[in-house]
This record gives sequence, structure tokens and C-alpha cells, in this order.
Amino acid sequence: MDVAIRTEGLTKRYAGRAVVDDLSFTVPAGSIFGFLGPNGAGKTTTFAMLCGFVRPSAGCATVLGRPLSDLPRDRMAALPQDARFHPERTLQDSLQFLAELQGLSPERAVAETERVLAAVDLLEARGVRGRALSHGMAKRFGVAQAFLGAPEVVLLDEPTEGLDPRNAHTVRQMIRAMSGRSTVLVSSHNLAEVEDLCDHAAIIDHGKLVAQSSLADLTGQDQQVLVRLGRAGNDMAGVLRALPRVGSVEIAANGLSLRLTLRPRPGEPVEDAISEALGALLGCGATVGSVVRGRSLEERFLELT
Amino acid sequence: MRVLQNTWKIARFDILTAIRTRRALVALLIYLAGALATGGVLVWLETEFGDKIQMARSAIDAADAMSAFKSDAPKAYEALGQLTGGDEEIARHLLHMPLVLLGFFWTTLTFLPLLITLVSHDIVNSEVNHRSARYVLLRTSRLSLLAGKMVSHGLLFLAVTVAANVALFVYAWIRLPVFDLLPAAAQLLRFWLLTIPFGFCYIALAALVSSLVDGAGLSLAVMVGVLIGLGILSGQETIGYLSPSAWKLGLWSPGLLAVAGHAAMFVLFGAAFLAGAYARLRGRDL
Repeated sequence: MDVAIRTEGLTKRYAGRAVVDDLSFTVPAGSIFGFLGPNGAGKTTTFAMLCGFVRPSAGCATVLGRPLSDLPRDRMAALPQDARFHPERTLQDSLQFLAELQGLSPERAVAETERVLAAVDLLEARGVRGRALSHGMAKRFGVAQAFLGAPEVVLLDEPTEGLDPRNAHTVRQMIRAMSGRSTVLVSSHNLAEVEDLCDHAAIIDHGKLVAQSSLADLTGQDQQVLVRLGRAGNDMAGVLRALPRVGSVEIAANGLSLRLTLRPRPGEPVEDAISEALGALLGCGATVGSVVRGRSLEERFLELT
Repeated sequence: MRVLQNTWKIARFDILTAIRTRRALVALLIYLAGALATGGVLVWLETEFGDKIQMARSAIDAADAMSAFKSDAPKAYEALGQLTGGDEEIARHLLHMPLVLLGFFWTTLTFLPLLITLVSHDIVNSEVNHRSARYVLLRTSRLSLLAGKMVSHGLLFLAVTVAANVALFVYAWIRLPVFDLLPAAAQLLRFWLLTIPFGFCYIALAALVSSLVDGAGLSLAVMVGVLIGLGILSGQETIGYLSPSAWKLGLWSPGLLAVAGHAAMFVLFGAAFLAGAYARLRGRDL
């Protein structure tokens, strides 16, 4: 597996208190990687260290194989959470300047500026100065500058926070479009969004890593099934527990919702185990309304933090 | 190479910002107003007392310059005695220069640090404070950011001093009955070239202060305090040489080598201030 970002024992202390504590994780190249944690978990500080704004107190990190002291600035982009746009310059001027600073030719910088402004629906506001931007516009500017050129690694700290649903959807589309050709590290409090966008994720709490894996593993897509019933059957728990490929059964108080932990045999598709369990349920006289594989990321997040 | 390219891109963006925000215009107007006011007074002096000044020059040439300053010379030339700190060689040298150029150079050496303080006190911390520097530093190094800021402010003051010099020169040429164009132009060029290391030193000092201090208002106050401190330090006999202000007098010297040596001291001071600013910027969290 190629690694785009690697941190090893990354630590940041302020006044002796560790905000990020011995954090080690890897982001596979080409993945869309969710970086999750409650408020104050250390996500923004981690982003700031990966962008080179904040010096680690201990540990190290690499981006595209280069250390934080020598970041590949022409190959990476970021949306820092609390960066501001130059108050006295227009959106167009600033984006062109940043594009040129990124190494684009003046002609390409103009074209890229137009492209990203259009993508975040700011083309008509191109002449607005930084100090006159609303929160939503400033956020969209931040997203726009992160998509200038063709960066190989993009770090996005809360990219859709404060955006209206239409603009948030646009940003998600832009992130999705980068899948495979760029590595995107995205932090968000919107867990449904992360679940929808990301193929890998890490969860941190109090500055420490509490989980990291593919999203499928994290949410137990290959082990857990939520079955919602139209009508409950007789002795469902007993029947299901008797099946060799069912590990555990949790039935909701109303009897119409079951969570099954499956134990498929090695090499066997998990669908076989699901089908067997559903067959057993129907045999008990139950009717099946829906089947959802895995736990929601929200449930997993709440368990871990 | 990339560092140099990005330095220039940052400088260009900063200069355009200074122009669009009229910061450059304000600097130019302050400097021009000061230069023309000083020039106006000095041109009037030369016009009113031209004959006496010429006579005094001849008398002083033949006599001991310092005592002549104290006796026969017009009041305006008594200042030369003060200006040169009693250095007779420098005083004799300055005596043959148009009063208007002397006055203007003196004004530059006295007030350029104040103008730099006024305009450049937040050269580094303005963008660091409102965090627009983060978007820049995603794409380039802290060295490029600092160098770009230095270049933009340096070019701004260069342009302002050129404009003020030319305006004053033309004014003096038109108004003075006797004005030797070529020697005066050569002298003006010499003074202007000396303004470059002098200005660099004080812009670098502003960069150091604004790297160490957060907040524009505080860095302005600290910068003013530092200038006063350096002025006091320069008057100390044993450690006065540690202040750039102590090396100002040498810029008036007749000998090219002496002038170059003193100008080099300003470059050295500037380099030291700049190194300090970079060390601070490099080590800090942004």
C-alpha cells in the first residue's frame, strides 16, 4: 500500500498539556480519508502540523514521503480551519496570486481561478474584497483555493461547516471527483458525510488515536447487519442463535429491530450468512422491512469517544 | 530558484496591495510633503543669503573651518558644525554642497526611520495576525514570505525617495538662481544610493520588531521605543557603536572608502536584524 501521509508519535503540547498525544496513523495514497473526533480532540492542531503552521513538540510526519520541515508545497493543498483571506484584496486577485505561488503559469492561474470560483458558485463575487466576505463566502473561498491546480494531497478541515445544503453538496461532489487521483484527508463533524465520502477513517479523542481502518472495517460492514421487521416472528432469538454463522443477536424492545453479528466462514461471502439468517427469520413467521449492513459511523463514533 | 520566484511573487502582490489600499500613496505624500517643506526653507535661505553664503565659503576655505562656522558664516551654516559633530574634514567637504541637498539628506537620515516605522511596523505580524499568511505558507516557505515583504517595502521606499528626490531637485533647479546641475545631480545620486543601505537597516529592524511582537499597535509602540533607545545608545562613548545611529555621521564623509565602510555597517546591522526576524518567524507557530 502506498502511503500519502504518515505520522509517528506526533505530539503537540501547549503549556505542558498535550493537545495531540503520540498520534500515529497512515493515510493510503488515493484514498478519501476521514479524520474524526469530538471538539477539542486535536484534529485542527494535527492539520496545522501537517500543513507546517505549527511545530510538533515531539514525533514526526511525512507528506508524500517528505518531512514537515520540507513539505512538498507544490504537490499539496489545504483548507485550514481558521485561515483568513487577505482583507484588502479581491477574491480573483487572491486566488490568482495563490495559484501562481503554487507554480502555475499566469495564464493557467487565470483559468484555474475561473474554474474554482465557478465550482463554488463565487464567479459573480470575484470582485469582492476579503473583508466584505460573509462566513459562507469565506468558507467557499477556502475550499476554492484548496482545489487550485491538481494537488496530490488535499487536507480539508471541516470543508462543509457553515455552508448551505446546495454548496455543501457541491463541495462533496468536488471531493468525490478527486477520488483515486488525489489523496484527501477530510475532517468533519458530519458523520453521515464522512460515511458517504470516505473509504478510510481515523478517530481521535483527547489527542490520541482510538481507531483507524477502512470504513467497512470501522463500521463492521462485514460482520454486522441491522434487520428491521414488518412483523416479529416466534422465538427469533433462539432460532438465530442456533445458526453457526450468527455470533450474537440483539433485539430491540419493540421486537421489530434486530442487530446480528455474523461469523462467515473464511473465504465465504458474508451474503451467504445474511441470506441464511433472513431465511431463518422468515421461517419464524417474521416479515422483513429492510436490511442494513454494518453499524452507522455515528454509533461507532459514540462507542469509541 | 523557487524561493526567489516566490519572493518576487509575494513582493509584487504586496506592492499592488499597498497601491490599492493607498498605503503607498500616503507614504509618498508624507515624504514628499516633508521633503518639499524642507527644500522650500533651504531654497529660500540660499536665495536670500546666496551672496553671503558664497563669501563665507571663500572665507572658510582660507581659514579654519570650524572657527569660521562659529563666527562669520550665516546661521544656516553654523548647523554644519553641529551636524558633523565637530569633524572638520567632513565640514569642509559639505561646505561646497548646495544647502538644499545637505538639508534634504539630513532630513532623510533623520525622518526616514520614522516613516519606515509608521508604514512598516506591521510588516510581518499583520498577515500572521489575521492569518492570511496561512494560505501563502501552504505554498511557499517562511523565508520567501519574509524576503517578499522586505523586497516590497524596500521597493516602496525606494520609489518614494526617488520621487521625493526628483521633485526636490527640480524645485531647487527652477528656484535657485545659481544651481550647478551636473555636480548637484551627482551629489543627489550619491545621497540617494546611501539611502538604500540606510533604509534597508531600518526596514529589517521593523521586520524584527514585528516578528517578535504581535499586534500592529504594540509593534508601532515598540518600534518607536527601539528607535529612541538606539538614539540614546549611539550617544554612549563605549558602546555607542552598537547602534546603527552611531554610523550615520560617516555617510557624510568626503572619502569614498569611509562612506562605503559606514554604508556597509548599515547593511551588517540590517542583515543581523533580518536574521533575527527569520529565526523568530521560523521557530514560531503561525
